[in-house]
Amino acid sequence: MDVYKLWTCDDNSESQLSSTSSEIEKEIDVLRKTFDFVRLLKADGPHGVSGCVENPCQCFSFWKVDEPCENCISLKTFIDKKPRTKLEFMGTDIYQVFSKYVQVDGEPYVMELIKKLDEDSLLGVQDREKIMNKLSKYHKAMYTDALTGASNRRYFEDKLKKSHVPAGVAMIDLDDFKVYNDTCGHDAGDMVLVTVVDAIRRCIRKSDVLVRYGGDEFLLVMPGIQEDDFAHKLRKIKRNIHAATVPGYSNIRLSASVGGVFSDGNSLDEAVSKADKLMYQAKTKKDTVVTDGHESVAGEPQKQEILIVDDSNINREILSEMLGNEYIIHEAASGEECIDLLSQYGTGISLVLLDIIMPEMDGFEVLDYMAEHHWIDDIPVIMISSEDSASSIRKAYEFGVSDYISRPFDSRVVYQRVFNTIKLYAKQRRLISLVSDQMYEKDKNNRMMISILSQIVEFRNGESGSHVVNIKRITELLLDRLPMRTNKYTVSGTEQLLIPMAAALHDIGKIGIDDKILNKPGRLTKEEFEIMKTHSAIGANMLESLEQFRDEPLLKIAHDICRWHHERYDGRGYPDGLKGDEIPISAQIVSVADVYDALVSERVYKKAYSHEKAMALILNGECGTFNPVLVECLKDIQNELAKGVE
Amino acid sequence: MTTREFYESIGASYDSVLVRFGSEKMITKFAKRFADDTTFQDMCKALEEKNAKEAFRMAHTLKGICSNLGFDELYKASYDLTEDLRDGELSGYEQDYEKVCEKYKIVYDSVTKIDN
Repeated sequence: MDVYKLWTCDDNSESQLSSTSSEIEKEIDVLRKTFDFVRLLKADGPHGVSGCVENPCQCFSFWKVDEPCENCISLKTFIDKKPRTKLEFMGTDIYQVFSKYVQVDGEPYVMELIKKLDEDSLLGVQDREKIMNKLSKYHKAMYTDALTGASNRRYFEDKLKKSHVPAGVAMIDLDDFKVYNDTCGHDAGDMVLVTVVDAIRRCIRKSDVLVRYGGDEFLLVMPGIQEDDFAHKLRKIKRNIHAATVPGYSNIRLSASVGGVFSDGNSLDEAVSKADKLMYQAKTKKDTVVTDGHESVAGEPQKQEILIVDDSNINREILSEMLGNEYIIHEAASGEECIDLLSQYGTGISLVLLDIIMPEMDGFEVLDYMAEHHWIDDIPVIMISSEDSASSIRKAYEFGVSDYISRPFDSRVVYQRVFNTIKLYAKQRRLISLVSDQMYEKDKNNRMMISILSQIVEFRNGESGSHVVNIKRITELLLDRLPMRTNKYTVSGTEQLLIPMAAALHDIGKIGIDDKILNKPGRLTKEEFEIMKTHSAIGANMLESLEQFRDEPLLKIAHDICRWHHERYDGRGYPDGLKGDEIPISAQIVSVADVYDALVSERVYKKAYSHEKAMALILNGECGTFNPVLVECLKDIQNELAKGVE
Repeated sequence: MTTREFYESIGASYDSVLVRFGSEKMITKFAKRFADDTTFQDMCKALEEKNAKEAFRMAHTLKGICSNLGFDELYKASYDLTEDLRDGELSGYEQDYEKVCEKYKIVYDSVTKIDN
């Protein structure tokens, strides 16, 4: 049998693969002229040059490795009898390996042919380049972040982490990335990341490496850079990011927090963890660069303060020492002391390490107190105890603790958990303040829109413009007073805010009333008055036609106020003649406020009355009948009202 | 004696504490510090005064300190005593108490001999 025959025979025609042992030996001699190694592998033991195929197979020892090759083709060939080839590396050499199923004296074997590929045996120059390109492209794709084109985390883990190259190492973390992502959508988030990478790229050299380290965290490695240069570059990067505009999202303003250190002969991995800590210090200020022991743009970062609560001195001291000098440590030997310090420092304390078993007030009681005063929402607690039964751990988590460290303490575990928790809460606090700023902004805009609208109405009515402001103020005063007089009416917290706002719209229906009637100096005729009275229904209808907002509480309340602020408690008002509490309480309150303010203000048809006169007119029922409780409330707030008139 | 020798003399593993503490200086500091700690004495006093709750708490604290410092034998003994006292009853703890005293003495005698 010649080589040709052996390798061209049909896969499954076993008869053609059968040889005797003398035939196969001759065969092997021929093959050895072409291949560097030829060996027969048998399932159950050595034969000639062979090892065995099934485990414990030692055939891999040829490759100077200690365990079976992951891509063992002989084993596969032995099982399914199909020939295979593979490339195998040993040191820097490449070997091509063929496996082929054969039968020798009726026994199953796999023949392995191994050929070393040296420079000469490689492809022509062109093909070689193609292969290299293919391999390097693969390499590139594997180590590149698809979105930003920066290197990816895998690149750091595989190629950089262990490196000891002297370099400036910086962590760059986007401020409030989560907000862009959540409020403007993921496309915006992606565009932000691309923009940031471009901004950084413009400041760095070709030899620098930029890695997308986490979602919105970038790692910059600048080999061989000078110290001054490094700090300068980082500040430039910060400015560049700040100045960058995100294509398609011109409303987004970017900023980043940067922490930078020198690797100083340490591994990059260690440098990264230091840079991360500095970055997080920068984060407390935002849009800031902090470098190792050097200036930060916005002044020195503050050290975080930690409260350690444990009745044993030694245990407190051990924890304190483990946390090192990066924190300011407060100590409390009992639950009571802990509460005292928390009352004193509030959220100045960034974290509490809390023991469970203590005299008098124990750890759980402290947690209870913290929950009751809503401190636990703002001040994270890590429980420490040797009381590590599942039930006490569960109980601690139910109380809202962030983490649990059991004795004996391991300094790295303690340090890392404390660091992680503080970092998480710092981010959360910043997000909360951002969201509340935005809510305030939104609320302010709402109030402004309503003011503009009601000013338009007043302007047309020829009123002073203060009517809306006064109505809103008096409505608020009455609303505050009402629950002290009666618990008959349930006004929710939201309604408490919405009713005064909606009160400003009570007269919008006057837009639909003829100017001549609206601003007639003298007394209205009966017909004119009938037309004037339609303003309450007109206003309500205007609001009803806003289909889109029909279910909005503000609109519903405004509708009720518009339609019914001229109803009277005895049923003698307009337009519907509602009686008593058929009139929504919101409209009842506004009707009192409206009448009072109309009396003390000057109008085209009347002079302003004094506060005393106005009160007397209302109390005598000369302006119609009001809910007696509201009249009482009006009396209660007299002092404030009188001040307002002055 | 050195701190390592101290740990060997009380049958505890210096290396496992070193792994957790990360510095030899820190181990020495806190091992020596143990000699001044009054938790053990407070516990004895509470037992004398038949104050079960306080005795439990002190045994528990002692257990925690020993766990941190890696005083394995004293830790085990105080662990057993803590469990005896957990239910607030002062009965059946005597044997474990004696064991704690015995182990405490071993630690105390050696810990005072650590060189500066």
